[in-house]
Amino acid sequence: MDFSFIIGWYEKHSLAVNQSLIALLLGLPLLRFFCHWLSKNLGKRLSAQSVMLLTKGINYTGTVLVVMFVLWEFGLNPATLLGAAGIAGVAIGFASQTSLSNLISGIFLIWERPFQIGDVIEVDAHFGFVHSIDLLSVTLRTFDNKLVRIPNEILIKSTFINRTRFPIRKLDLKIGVSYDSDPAKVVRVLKEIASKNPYSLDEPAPLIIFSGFGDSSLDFVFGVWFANPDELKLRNSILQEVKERFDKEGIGFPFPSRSLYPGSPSAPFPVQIVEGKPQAN
Amino acid sequence: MDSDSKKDIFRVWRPFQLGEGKMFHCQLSSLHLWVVRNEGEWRIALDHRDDDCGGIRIIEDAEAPESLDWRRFIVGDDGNALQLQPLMPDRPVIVRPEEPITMVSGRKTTFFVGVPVFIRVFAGKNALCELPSEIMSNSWFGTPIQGELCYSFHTKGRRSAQQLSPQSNRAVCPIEIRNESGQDLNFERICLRAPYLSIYQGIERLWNGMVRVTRHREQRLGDIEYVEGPPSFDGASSRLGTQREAPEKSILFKTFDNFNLNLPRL
Repeated sequence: MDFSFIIGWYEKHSLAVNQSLIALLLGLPLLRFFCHWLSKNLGKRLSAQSVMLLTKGINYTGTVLVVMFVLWEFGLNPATLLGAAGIAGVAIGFASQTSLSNLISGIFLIWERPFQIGDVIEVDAHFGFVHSIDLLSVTLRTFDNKLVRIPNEILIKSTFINRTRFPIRKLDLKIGVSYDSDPAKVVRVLKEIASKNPYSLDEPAPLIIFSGFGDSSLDFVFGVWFANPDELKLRNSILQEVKERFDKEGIGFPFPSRSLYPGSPSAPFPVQIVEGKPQAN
Repeated sequence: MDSDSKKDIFRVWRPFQLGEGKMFHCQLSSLHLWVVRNEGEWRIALDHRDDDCGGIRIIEDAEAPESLDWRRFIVGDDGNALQLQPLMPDRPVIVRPEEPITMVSGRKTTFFVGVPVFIRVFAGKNALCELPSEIMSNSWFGTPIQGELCYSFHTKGRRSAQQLSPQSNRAVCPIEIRNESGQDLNFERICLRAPYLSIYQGIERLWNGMVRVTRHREQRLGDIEYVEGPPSFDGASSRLGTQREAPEKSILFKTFDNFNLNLPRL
């Protein structure tokens, strides 16, 4: 095999080749190392999202500069390249409208900051921690440790809930008690349960509402405020305490029941016993 | 040995020598603490129960119930000295008087508030863990959008230290309030920066340094000063527990940021 052409070309462009190789082999790893160092050292001062945006911005810009330097070394004019990229961009843009839409949505999401990395959000049926916010998509880590990729366009168009945007939240429990219970006593007992539970905030005060007369129960809403990290501890402990305390106070949880009337609501359902066996008329 | 130490409530804060394989059990108010020393390691368990003994019970060479959750600490062979150190809670504490208090203008008074302490357990020179001596409620100081997680408890708002019963697990914080606002001062709660406070030993009680609050004219919040050093009550002198954080220097900033006399509608 004749390598003379390659050797000749190398001898002619040896400086450009060597400089390009140095730029690619040293510049790109150094850039990655610098971004890693930056994310490690800024982690305590900035939010995870800011660090991610900063390091990604530096990484993308640095990579583009290194590539442009290599092309320039081989005699390609960056201005011509950018012009060509512009024309190519229009063509590619038409061909990939969805990606472009996601990209623009991503920029809006980054600008608007409705959530940050680590927040717990709910989008359609998906529910989990925000794992990363990229230009085309947002990834969630669900509570059963799955990764869900959601295109940015969907997030811009649809409604989502950020559960951890604010530091405290309210847990609303719907509680039904039997009709023979004293509503005032139920309210008093619920207040005491909330005040003794260490995860329930006493300020803002718990909200207890006698919400109505259900089919088989007196219905209450028991709203307890908590700090975000205590959600599971509160949910587990307060339900157990409600059950234990209601049992102790003689407040019953009714089973769904239905009354049947044979025509007149005030008269009892007539039952006739024939030879020891009950028979309905 | 079982000692009912209402007479010497400070005994629990002095070092104990714990032999190999021996168990130490102490009860402070409602907190039960068990410590066992084995070869190069210490095991600690705690339980908060309803049987408040109102003081301290110390049982050396005790037996522990089986239901406890133990934690093991590997510290090497660093002596057999066990020491408990009191220190203030790791978050601000919201103190609520049992009844709302109104102070007329131009008056000054001092409230004595017993704050439940945390306990730092030392094995030799190694700090093993910190435990709350009482379970306090969580509370939020601020708006639902921004604020700070605090502990909270109710106080009778005594105006004489003698009215407080000596409790081994509570440090009495004297809070001096001056109303120079020209109008009545009503308050329902006080947010006390507990991490700024040190603990001192008096003759009968544990003490914090004095906290002075002044409400001036046209000021919704009060100026606050955390006085360093023991208060001039009950012969308080030696420091048992150091503050967790140094108070910020800017008193004016700190006042607005950290202390609130919650003023109900008149």
